[in-house]
Amino acid sequence: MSIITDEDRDRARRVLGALEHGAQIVTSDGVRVELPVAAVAALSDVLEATAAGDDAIVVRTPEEVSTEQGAAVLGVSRPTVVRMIDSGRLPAHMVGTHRRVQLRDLLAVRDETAGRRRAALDRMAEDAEELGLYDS
Amino acid sequence: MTAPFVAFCDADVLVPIVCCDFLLTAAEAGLVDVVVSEVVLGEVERNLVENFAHLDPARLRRRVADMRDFLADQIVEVGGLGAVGDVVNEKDRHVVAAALEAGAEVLVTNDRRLRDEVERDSLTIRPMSADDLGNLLWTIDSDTVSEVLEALFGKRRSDSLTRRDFAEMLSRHLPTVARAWSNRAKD
Repeated sequence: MSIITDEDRDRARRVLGALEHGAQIVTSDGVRVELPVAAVAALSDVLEATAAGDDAIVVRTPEEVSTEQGAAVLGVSRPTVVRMIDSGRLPAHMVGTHRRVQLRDLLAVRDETAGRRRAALDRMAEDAEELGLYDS
Repeated sequence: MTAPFVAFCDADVLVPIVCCDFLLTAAEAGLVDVVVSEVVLGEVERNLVENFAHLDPARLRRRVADMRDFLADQIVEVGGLGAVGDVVNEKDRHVVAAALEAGAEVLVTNDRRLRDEVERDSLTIRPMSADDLGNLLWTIDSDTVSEVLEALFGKRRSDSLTRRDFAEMLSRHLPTVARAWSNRAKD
């Protein structure tokens, strides 16, 4: 935790505006290095937090995770993740004797699943209401 | 962030509309991983068509199609009866076999006889009623269960339906959860 002063907030706002056009850093020996887009995005998030007077922390997300971690990301159990891998729905590869899943594959499945599940539940509720199933 | 446990659901907890809605919405909230088999979904469909014989069967089949859509990653195939012993009645052995195949920690059934048989079979699976499961979820995360119930109540379109009416409807299948939710609202 650090105390963010009004001056810090102003400076963060100014740098944030400048970042819109990309960012470079200048090393101590005067070499200019272009920052990768992902790093600029992360830096923008930190500056946004500072500009708002909030503390920011950077969390590293691994490129790939275990089936147990994947299950937590999807909000399902590990056996379900294993079934999804076995059916070919979720790509995975072996590292030694363990399966590993790419985080980006998990997030794509999570987004697709969430939309599909929500839509199914909404249709079920609407139909039940229309058919009077709740009154039976 | 932890992965939820597997609860294999028997047909008798998915046929009652409010109970089914609760279980699937709890699954959507990540409280529990509801798993079924094709045979169970077939039983749900047969029961719905029988129980609501005055309604268009196609509409009731659509409800099961939506359930299948919701549970697309949670439908297990059962090869054989595996470790299920003779102590489980023949008619329900497929349910227990599917639950074991799914790696379920809990078998949710309102069939007391089946629950007793599973207890006696010394399997690794814990049998419980839908209300027991609801109560367990409430104990684990009452805030999220409460949000699930609020969402279900919010989806009801009837203007005249009060929270009390909804709790009463809920109490027919999930009495302990309905009571806990009502008591929470009073606090």
